[in-house]
Parts: sequence; structure tokens; C-alpha cells
Amino acid sequence: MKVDYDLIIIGSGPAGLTAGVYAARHHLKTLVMGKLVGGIASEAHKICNFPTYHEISGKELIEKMEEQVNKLGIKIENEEVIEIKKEKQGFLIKTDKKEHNARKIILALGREKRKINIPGEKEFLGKGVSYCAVCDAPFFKDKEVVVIGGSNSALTTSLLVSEFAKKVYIILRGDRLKGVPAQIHLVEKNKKIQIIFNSNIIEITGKNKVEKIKLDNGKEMNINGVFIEAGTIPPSKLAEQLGINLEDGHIIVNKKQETNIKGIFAAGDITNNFVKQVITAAAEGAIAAISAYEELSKEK
Amino acid sequence: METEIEVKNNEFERVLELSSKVPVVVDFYADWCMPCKMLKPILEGLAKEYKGKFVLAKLNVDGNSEIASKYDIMSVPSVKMFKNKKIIGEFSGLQQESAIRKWLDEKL
Repeated sequence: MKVDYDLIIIGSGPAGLTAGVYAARHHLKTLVMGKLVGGIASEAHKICNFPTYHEISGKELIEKMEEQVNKLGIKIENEEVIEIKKEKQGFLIKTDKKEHNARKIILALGREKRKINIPGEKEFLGKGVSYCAVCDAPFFKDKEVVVIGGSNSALTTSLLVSEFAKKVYIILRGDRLKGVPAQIHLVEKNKKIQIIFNSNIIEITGKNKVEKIKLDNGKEMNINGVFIEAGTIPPSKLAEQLGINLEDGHIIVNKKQETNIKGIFAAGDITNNFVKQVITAAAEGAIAAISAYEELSKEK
Repeated sequence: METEIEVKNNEFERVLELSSKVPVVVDFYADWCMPCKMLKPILEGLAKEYKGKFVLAKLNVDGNSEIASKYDIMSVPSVKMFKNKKIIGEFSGLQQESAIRKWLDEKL
């Protein structure tokens, strides 16, 4: 079945949802597609830098955005894009369920959490290994866990998990934490959290669930849970298929969020812009939708 | 026969009994978890589509921790398929509908 749209937004995080709001208000026939509404922002414990909210959970903020999109009559479909083909009047988008025609596309693909590719990581997923502290932290009440990584997301995860666990070890490769000063301060004064610098985890072992980890200095630790916050990577496969210019896997955009392919725009964490925040992703989504509208207006 | 049910701690024996007649897919979820929210309509849609080939049982781990703990739930969403009171398949985390369909077809 083929359906025709002015605009298809691929990705339903803050960039994709905001693009949806702007597209609706510009009366574009629009569809938003995504696997996880909100993307990694939906799994954020607390967002404390989005204007109007002193503090809000990622899930709650995203649900408010989703509600706004829905109220404007834009559908958000859980479809996985398999292929995008350039056609005369626009693009043909093949998903795991349908085929759609779109005159313009916004790629708001976000970021994916990086795997660390060590023995036990895959085998114990859901059995002590987690990439979503907001989802899984409550299961580690009075347990001992490690958080892998030294970035802001690792610090936030450590703070959240420490509300439940009796001991949290942060294990990081480098010799200093890289988060924002406010988070570093909270971690350093938290008595449940211990930081292990200059170390790498090399194996996760156990019978039916996580029981032990090994470090590259030969040390073994008895542990119940492993939260992996080893950074993120841009999912660039679709962009590569389309021949879109990339910079370190991120889509190169100009001030109008245009890519090197006419009719395809990009917004949010997938772009090569400097800052990766909910507020900047939303702003890029707004610009992309307005740019798509302007381009469509000239073609009519 | 119902294709989906909501269960609580004290009703889980009913799920196990039911699994002797028809496979039961138990969705261990929590309201605080966005991937759970995304997975729910996918499982509900498949339960309707498979027309009784399996029953979907939804268990909120918040408030039903006894069962969650019994089955070593350490992550949500976690999905387990029970047949004859035993677990015959499981996955955790949000999956695409196509992957879940494949999993169901293998197990059923």
C-alpha cells in the first residue's frame, strides 16, 4: 500500500517530534516514524536544562511532546525504514510494514548507545547488563553494581542507581570524569559511589545472571549489575545508502538543516552540529521543518 | 478465549495453569519505562493477530515484585513465554515487530 506525504520525518526523538509540530502548523501532510518515541532522551533520568521545567524526567518530557504532536493530528508510526529510493517527485520509503511516498524527508535518527563488545555483554543483557538505568535501576536494591564510562550520562546513571544499590563503582578508561561540573560534584560527594580510574572491563561472567567482572589490571570483582554508558554512535547506515555527506558518521548540514541531497534535511543528534542536547535537537527539528516547507512552497 | 490478560502476584498460578493449555507470553513491564510503553501495543497487536495461538499476560513489576523476583527480572521490558508451566523462550528490551514475529513463529 502506498501513501503520499509532503513530509516524512524519520526518527521520533526531540528533533523529529518538534519537526512534526512545525510541519503540522505549516499544514504539511506529515508522518513521523520511529522505533522508540523520544529516543535516548526518553531514558534520561532527569532533564534539568529544558526551559519551563526546573526538573523533569525524560519520559515525562517526551510524553508531553508526543501528546502535542498527536493533538495536531500527526501520526507517529512504529516502523523500521529498510530503504529509501530517490524518485522523480520525491522519495520512496520502504519500511518493514509499508511503502510510503514523500516529497521531502527529515532524518532525525538520533544516536544509539555504544556497545563495549566484551564477553558476557550480550549473553547477560537483561540478566544484570543494562543500557537503561531509568528502566532497570530499581531491580538492584541493596546490590553492588558497576557503571562503565566517565561521561555525563555515566555520572547521571551512577547517581540514579545509587538511590537503590548499596554500592556503585564507576569504571572508566581515563584519569578524570568528563561530565558537567554540577554532576561531578554530586558524584564526588556521594558516599555510595567509588570511582575506579584508568581501568577497562574485559569480561562479565556468571551462571544465569551477572556475578563477576574482570578488569584489565587482572582484578576481579563480585558484582550484581553492569550499567553500560560508554558513549553513543550515530546510526549512519541510511544516510550512507543515500550518499549523504558525513563527518565522523554525522550528517553534514547547513544553517537550513539541508544535506547535500535536495529534499533531504537532517536534525538533532545525527547532524554534525556541535551541541547534542534536547533543546538544540528540538531547535534543529523546527528549522528543518520550516526549510522543508519553504522548499515545497517554491515547487508548487 | 481472551487473547490478553492483566495479572497480579496472587494470580500467577492461573497463568501457569493456563500455559498447560496454550502458550502464555508474559510481558513484565513498568510504568516508568518508555521502551515498555512502546512494546505494549506491538505485543497486543500480535496477540490479536495470532488469534489465540498464545495468550498475552501483562504483569506490572511495580507492586508485583514477588513474581518479578521469582523469575529473576532485572530489566524491563522482559518477555517470557511459558508452556506447561515452564519458560520456553525469552527476550528483553524493546524489539521490532518483525523480530518478535520471528521469535513467536519459532516458539509456537
